[in-house]
Amino acid sequence: MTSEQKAWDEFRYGDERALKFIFDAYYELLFNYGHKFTPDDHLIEDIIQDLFVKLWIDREKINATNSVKNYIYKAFRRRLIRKLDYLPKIMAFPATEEKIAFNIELGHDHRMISAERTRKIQENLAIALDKMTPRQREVIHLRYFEEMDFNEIADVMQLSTKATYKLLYRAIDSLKQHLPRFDYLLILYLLNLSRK
Amino acid sequence: MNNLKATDYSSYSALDFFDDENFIQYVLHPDQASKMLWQKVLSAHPDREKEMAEAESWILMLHRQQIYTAQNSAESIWGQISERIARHDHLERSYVMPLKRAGKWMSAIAAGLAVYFTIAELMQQGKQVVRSDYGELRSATLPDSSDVMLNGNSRIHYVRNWRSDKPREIWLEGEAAFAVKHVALKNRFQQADSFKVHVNGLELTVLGTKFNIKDRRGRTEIALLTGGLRIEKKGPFAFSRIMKPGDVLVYDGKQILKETQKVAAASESWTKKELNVEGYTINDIAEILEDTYGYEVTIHADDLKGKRLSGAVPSGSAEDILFVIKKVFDVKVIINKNQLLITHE
Repeated sequence: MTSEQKAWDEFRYGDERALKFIFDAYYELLFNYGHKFTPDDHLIEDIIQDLFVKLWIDREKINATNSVKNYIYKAFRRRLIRKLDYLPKIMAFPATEEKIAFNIELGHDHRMISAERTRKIQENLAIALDKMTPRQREVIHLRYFEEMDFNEIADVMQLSTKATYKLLYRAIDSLKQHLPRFDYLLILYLLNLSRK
Repeated sequence: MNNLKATDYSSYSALDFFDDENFIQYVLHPDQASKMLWQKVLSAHPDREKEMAEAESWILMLHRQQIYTAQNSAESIWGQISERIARHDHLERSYVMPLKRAGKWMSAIAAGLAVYFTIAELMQQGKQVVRSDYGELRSATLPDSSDVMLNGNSRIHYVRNWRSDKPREIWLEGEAAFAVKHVALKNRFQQADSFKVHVNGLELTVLGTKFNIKDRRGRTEIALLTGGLRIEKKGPFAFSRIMKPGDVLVYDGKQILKETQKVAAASESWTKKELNVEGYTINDIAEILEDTYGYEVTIHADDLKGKRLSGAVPSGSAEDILFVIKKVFDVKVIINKNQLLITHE
């Protein structure tokens, strides 16, 4: 049993410090995840607060879990989507989860080759990501940033495993279509070198 | 990692590496074994080097996104959570638990009755009614400081305490003009910020808005002056419509139609003791005299029925309206208590 699962069980039996332990472990990450959906910090903060207060109130009804992270992410995402979904819904526009934004800001790879080349790769990847739908970007984020596996992603996004595979497949396919051909890039790169 | 041998890397593209679970693991958490493995793959397929390097870059760039940090520290947020938890626990200990314990002492019936009466009393207490007499204009300010003006013979009721986490709800019979306060913070719209009006089986959902509702004789006329408004009918024959400023819609209990004769702004002219009668017939006027001023009207002048009015009529009192009617239609009005007879000279 991980220390997190232990804290989870202690919290369920009424130990507030255990809940704080879980909060400390996830506050930053949840905030970061929430920020991908909306720039509204206050909203994210409110959702996190409500989530933990509700956890406490319902503690006796909550089950043991083998992934605290998944439980927290799933609950957080559900609340956030519900809030973000409300504005379009009240005016009965046919918008749904589909339309809610998801933004990825790439980090750096200092490890390799020339800075010029890194920049080019990053630029192309950013453009290709931009061409994806928000939910495709989210699946990419959960896989490569949060390092979740398919079952975990399916659980957090409340999709079937099959639908999750499909979503990821579509995301990769979108990359394939929107990333410039590697060979072409290479040629360009070599041309640049020869010019120098 | 036995399956590695089965995989043919000779034609692997950067995307294939990018999508390869083993490769991702190796990039993010390299260990001795995986380093050796991928070194082997590389030496077997040296032409894949660029592809591998590119996939590695992508994975790292996605993984090394800068973490967005909140302005408020985790500590201060936890402080607020902890306070809310303490408040909840206090309420639970001082009220809920004793109630539960007390419940054990009472018979089920006694407890049921107590709950029933408490709820009935609370509901009576909480319910606020505003009504206007025939011919009386009445304005009221709601708990959220939205304004309502009631035309004669109209009634609204609502629950007195509007909690900020519930939508504001109001029930209307008759005619009223609303100016609803917009309470939603920018970009933070939530259910609690909406304002709902229930009328004639419809549910109107409103965002800070001015509108007029006239519900007479089972016919509901809704005119939107500013803002946004959604009309929704639940249950059988459910529908929902979005109104734009300037729209006038009419619901006759079955369907909803757009009224093209009338202008939205004219619909609330009565709040200024004027009646915009653009497009009205003598029958429309008669209905207003009945609904808003409480007369029983009889018309003995069939030839006037097709005639339409234009312009505005003072509507401070029924006398004012009748004065204009007499002049415009050239008719005689005989008043006997609340009976009105409109006839030719």
